[in-house]
Amino acid sequence: MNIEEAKLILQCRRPCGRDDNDPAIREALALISEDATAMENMRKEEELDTFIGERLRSLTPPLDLRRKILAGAKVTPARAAKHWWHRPWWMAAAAALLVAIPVAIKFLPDSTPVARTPFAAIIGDFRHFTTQRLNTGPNLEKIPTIKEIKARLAGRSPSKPVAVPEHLCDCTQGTVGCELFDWKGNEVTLICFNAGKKGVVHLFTMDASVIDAFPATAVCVPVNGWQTRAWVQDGKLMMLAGGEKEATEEDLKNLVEQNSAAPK
Amino acid sequence: MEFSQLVETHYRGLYQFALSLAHSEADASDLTQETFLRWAEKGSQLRDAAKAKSWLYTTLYRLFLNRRRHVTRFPHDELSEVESALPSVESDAVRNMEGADVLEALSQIDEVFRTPLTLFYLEDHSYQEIAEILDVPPGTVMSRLWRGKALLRAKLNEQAGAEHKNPKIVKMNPSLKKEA
Repeated sequence: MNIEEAKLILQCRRPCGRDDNDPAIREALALISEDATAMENMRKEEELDTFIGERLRSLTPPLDLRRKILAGAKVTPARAAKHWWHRPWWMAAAAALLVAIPVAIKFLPDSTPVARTPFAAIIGDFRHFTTQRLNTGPNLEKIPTIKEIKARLAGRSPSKPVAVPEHLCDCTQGTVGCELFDWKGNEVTLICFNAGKKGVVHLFTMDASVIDAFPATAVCVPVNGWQTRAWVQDGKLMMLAGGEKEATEEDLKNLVEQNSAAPK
Repeated sequence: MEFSQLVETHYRGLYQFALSLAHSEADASDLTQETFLRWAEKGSQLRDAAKAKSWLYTTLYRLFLNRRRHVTRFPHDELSEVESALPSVESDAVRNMEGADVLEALSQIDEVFRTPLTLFYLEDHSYQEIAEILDVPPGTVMSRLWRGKALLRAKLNEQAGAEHKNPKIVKMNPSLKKEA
């Protein structure tokens, strides 16, 4: 393998080193590790790949697609060992399906049991993903007030009302914008507030019905240059993030808790 | 794996893959639904549950090809035949793009490159898995990814240039912390 082949092979390397155990990729990595320019180019490539991938994964399917798939499958018989032409009732079943699918889609409730995951098992990934997103630049729609943001988000996802701690709205100076994106199949809302001298603070919220065993009090952890405070409230996982240099743990607490002083 | 769990895990990725192939939300939804219906009919015949993801993506891709009715054959490229330099891309310009913009740039690329590129960017697939889904040698996947990335960058640069001249939406500066 020469350096040009190594560069080519490394185009197939997914971000975060997910393929580094692959023999060809390992060999290519070893080869270019001695070339500082090639390493720097690979880092830039990886950054761009991460960004393009995030943008593609942010495309969300129609809200009712999952329900339609599940409803359709309920009326689809598993294939038996015999071929269909050996079964005289096949045509009747197909006709029944044509009638049953639309009926099922309309009337079947969405009662799929959801596996719940402990808070501690997901929060690390969540903090890392969201703060990384802040560092690579979220795709915000600029909207100056929380009222307009709520109206905008309600229009996009009517079944999931927006939850925001009231105190945060009261003690900040308006909003910067908002974004909806997908994290591991969950819809996450990002709302950015102008917190004056504390910089812009970012509130991420996600449905907590998939989360179990969450702590009684908020948990603060600095990640990727951001101070983060995560807790569960009103059936939502919430995480507030502020720049580490501008906002302390205490500042974040004061922004969301009614009984504490608003940061100056 | 339970059917509902399988749907929960894969339907978004499959839809995104289908959307990049079919360019239409309705067709992408149909392809995704049909793929799961095939699984409901035949999935229990699959002995190795770990192969479910590969099976679903392969099935969706074949359904797409069948719908198109004709498949253009493309030669398998050898590693040594491809160029070694990718065009650079202004990452700041790309950062201002949304998912739909990236999808639009991707849709302008020939399907032979677009398909492996989408599977790569969805990140759920290694190049070996992509080779399995598309039924081509791994070396071909490598060269298609290389060329596909080069073409995508050219399209993104074009698009970013056009948007720079005619901005269609005001977007957030990445350095949010400095804005306040």
